[in-house]
Amino acid sequence: MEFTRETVEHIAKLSKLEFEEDKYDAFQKEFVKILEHFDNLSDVQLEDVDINDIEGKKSVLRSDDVHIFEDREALIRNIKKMRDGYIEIPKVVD
Amino acid sequence: MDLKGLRIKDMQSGLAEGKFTSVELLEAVYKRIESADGEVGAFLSLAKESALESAKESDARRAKGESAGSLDGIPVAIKDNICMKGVTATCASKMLEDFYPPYDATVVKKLKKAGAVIVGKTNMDEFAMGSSTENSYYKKTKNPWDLSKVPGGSSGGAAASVAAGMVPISFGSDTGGSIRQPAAFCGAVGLKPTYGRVSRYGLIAFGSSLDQIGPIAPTVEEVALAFEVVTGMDRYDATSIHSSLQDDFMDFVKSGASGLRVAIPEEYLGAGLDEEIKESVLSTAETLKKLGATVEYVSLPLEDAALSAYYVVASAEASSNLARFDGVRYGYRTEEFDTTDELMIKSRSEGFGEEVKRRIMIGTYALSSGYYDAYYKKAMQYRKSMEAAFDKIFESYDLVLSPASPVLPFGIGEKTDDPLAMYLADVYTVNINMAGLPALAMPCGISKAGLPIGLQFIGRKLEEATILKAAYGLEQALELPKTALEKEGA
Amino acid sequence: MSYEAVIGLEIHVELDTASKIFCGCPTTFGADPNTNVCPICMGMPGTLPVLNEEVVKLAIKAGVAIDCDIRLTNKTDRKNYFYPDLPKAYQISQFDMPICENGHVKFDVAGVEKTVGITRIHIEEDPGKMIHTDDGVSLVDYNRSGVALIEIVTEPDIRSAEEALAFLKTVKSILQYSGISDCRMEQGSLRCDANISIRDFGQDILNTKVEIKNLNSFKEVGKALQKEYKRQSDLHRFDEAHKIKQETRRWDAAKGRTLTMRTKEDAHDYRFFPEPDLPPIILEKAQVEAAIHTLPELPDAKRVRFHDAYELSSQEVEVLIAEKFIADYFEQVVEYGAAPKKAANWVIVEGLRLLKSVEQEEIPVKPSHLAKLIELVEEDTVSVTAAKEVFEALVKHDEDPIDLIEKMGLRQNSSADALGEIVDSVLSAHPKALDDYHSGRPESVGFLMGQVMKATKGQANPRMAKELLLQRLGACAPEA
Repeated sequence: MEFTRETVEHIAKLSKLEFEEDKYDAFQKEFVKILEHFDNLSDVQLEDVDINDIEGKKSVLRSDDVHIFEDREALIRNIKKMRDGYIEIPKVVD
Repeated sequence: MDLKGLRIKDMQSGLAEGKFTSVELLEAVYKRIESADGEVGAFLSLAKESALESAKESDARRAKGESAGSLDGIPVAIKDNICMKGVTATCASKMLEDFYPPYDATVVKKLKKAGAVIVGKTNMDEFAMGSSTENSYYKKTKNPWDLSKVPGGSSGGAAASVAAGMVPISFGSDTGGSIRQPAAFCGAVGLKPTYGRVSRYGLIAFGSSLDQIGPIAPTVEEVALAFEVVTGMDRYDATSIHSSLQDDFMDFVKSGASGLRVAIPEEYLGAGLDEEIKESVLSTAETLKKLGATVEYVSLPLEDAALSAYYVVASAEASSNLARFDGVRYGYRTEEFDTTDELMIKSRSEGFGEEVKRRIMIGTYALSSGYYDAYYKKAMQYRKSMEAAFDKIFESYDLVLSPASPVLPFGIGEKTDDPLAMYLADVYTVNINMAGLPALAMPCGISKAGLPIGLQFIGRKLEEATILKAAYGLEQALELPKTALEKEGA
Repeated sequence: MSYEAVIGLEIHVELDTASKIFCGCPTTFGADPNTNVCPICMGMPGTLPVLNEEVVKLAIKAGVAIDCDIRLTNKTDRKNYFYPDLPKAYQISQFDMPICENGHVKFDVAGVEKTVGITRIHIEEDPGKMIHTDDGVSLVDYNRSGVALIEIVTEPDIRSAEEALAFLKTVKSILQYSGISDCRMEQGSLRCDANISIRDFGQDILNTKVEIKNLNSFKEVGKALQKEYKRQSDLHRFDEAHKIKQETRRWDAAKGRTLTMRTKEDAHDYRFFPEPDLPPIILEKAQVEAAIHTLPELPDAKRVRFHDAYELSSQEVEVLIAEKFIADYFEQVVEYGAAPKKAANWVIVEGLRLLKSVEQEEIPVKPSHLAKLIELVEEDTVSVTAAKEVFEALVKHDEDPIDLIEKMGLRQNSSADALGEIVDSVLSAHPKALDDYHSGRPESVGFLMGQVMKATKGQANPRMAKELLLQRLGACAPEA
């Protein structure tokens, strides 16, 4: 695969990250080097193993009991901006 | 009060005999931290208020003749990616500079219940991504054995706090070697339990299918003791497993290495391994034989692809786990933004360091449309073959012995320009997390330059006791200095 | 020239569990913002999900009620995307191994039976809610975050807005009956997105489909589908079918049209991967069988039984089975001895009328009381009109209807002797009316009846009074 500048920008967009203009090139080179190294994964002969096999696994379920979290203050403490109990952010336009 | 050479059992007896109180012990700890940590940089924050309260409560219990357990009144440190109420959990990132967890991690709850006095939060690589603790946003931690060297990572602060004689025990986290490598670099003992053996609830996630919390201490006995306290199924962690320790756990651990069958993968001693480390490991193998263990070479190839598989899985999971840091509910929020999109992008770009951003990008890529099969799926399939390879060895052997790191503790700043080179140094440790096995690092020698050399024991799932048994026997025979304070000429 | 509409629906249903899907927070509707929350459903760092067993049970039940195959091994996956109402920036859902597959729903549209295939049902968590203010701000509330959902995806078998509505009503009914959800679209416990493409009749191919979101009521679903059908048809008709893009459009109820929201290029890359924090969901056949056993009689079966057992008209049956609690109520009234036809009439007319004035989904009169009331009407103890008054009173006064009748003075006078006397006295008091009657003015009967009712303060049994009156009138016909 070609790791073009576009690829880096696309992945950055998906990751909600942005880089300074001059950083893109350096980042792209590094990115390419690392990912090319990872291509050694394709060299490995692997059986088409089912990664979702359930051998030795069990369901873990909890009962439908209500438990009120006792320290709402501690939760709210970390929120930067609130209004009337809601978290306030700039208007989101769909 | 001199903390040098004071083990947990010495503290236990000192407290029991009234030689000192838990509060006095705590004061000594903070005094030591004050005098030494300016240089070492192990701690990011100190929980003085809550620690004092815990110490007082411990003393009160003791006065009544009661005890909360083996760690009652004992000072401990925890890595700053483990949540404790009332104290920040920064993950050594700007992103969480002002994050106060609203709850205690299960491990913290267990420690508190056992009467432990949690003195502070230790430095780490940002979001546990790194092998030298140099990726911390706040400070560098120095190796107490040689302040120009790194303590290893990502639990560098936890390992250094123990090696510098500040606390008798600390807790780190291990995703690809982050307890074992720093323990080795700092001449301490560090245990990564079987995946699921210790609850991850409250551990700020990096690689969900790889992470485990584990103890670091100067001796095997202390690590075993700490492991006993924190292990156990947790209803808040669906990946935690139900398993109890055998009744005579400690006796078993102390029963010596005789009779154990140890395998050394010959490929692990090949090119790329520092000569001094190789010699030390081979010498240790001889010691084990003298103790009555059988030690044989086996073939267990160190495939390049294994490292790639680990990085793909870890980065993929990390990219998803770190997506929640968007400035909306907690954590760093950029100052100027007009839209919510800007809020998210800028907060993340300003809040995360280089290495974190790099791994998020790699992980996002590995999961993205068109690449999932080639990267993530392939890596997960590879994982199964890694497990199978170890299973094969464990059919005929109880333990695998290997170096903990291919290199000795390196100089601060020496490897920071080449991220790939840094990744490749994890070669002995990542396979274990991928296979979900338990493993322990411990000192096996000192280099000519006076730096700790560590080795690694790997065991079958749920057989920490066997690992600890071999380690204890070996430790008794090697008689190495337990902390940097106790090193020769110190 | 018209085209065939090819419609599929994606329905999200909030499950009726006490606590959320991955944490113990309550699921109550209408709480103050950010109060039904905890570190887990707010996606705080370090927290982990643990699956609620009731969610699995209800999902199996839903699958069984909709005739699906239940996948005995299924798992959760992460669906990754950034949005402020999604606290972890991923939604735990099911991607390639959903809990139920391959079902179908049968229903009636204008007398014709129709079957719609159900591709799959999977479990997932609800995100929080956002409100957008006028002063440039959005407000986020995580009370809803983590509420358990099932998503039901249909095959593109629906061919009209009418069918879509009938389908939705049927599914709502099935899910309510099964106790899976209260399915209230106004409260958001049932949400629907639609996918529509069009093609020439007789064709098999699937043309570009458009997804429509923001449908807040069944009515809007119908309107939006019609509008979008027209938009696509017009484009086809004018040879501009290439302008139909695969996209997501937002229904704007105020403007009455759909607007582009998200194109295929902007579409999310969800980067699905198996959820590492949750083990797979491994079910036993016994669990599925148990779910089948605990299912109550579903609407279809009830329809047939009501028809046969109670001999009611199709219309009456439809109204009664529309909601399970109404059907149950009706049957209880019958059990207490009321004739089915009468009971049906009372429930449909008076019962539903009362329902409109109360908050909860419950007819506020005890079925035993209604049955008694019906009996009393049969016995002529009270007139139908008066009985309606009593019925209303029973809402506030939980008493034996006979006591209320006495208290309200509504006991009908059905004594032939007593009434006869009153009729006689009315007749003698109004000789002119008598004459009018005999001169061929039947409306004077109405006047005389009025007088009788007045004299008896409305308590005369009208039927009886009229009989007696006509008798007397006939009896005192003037000699020819």
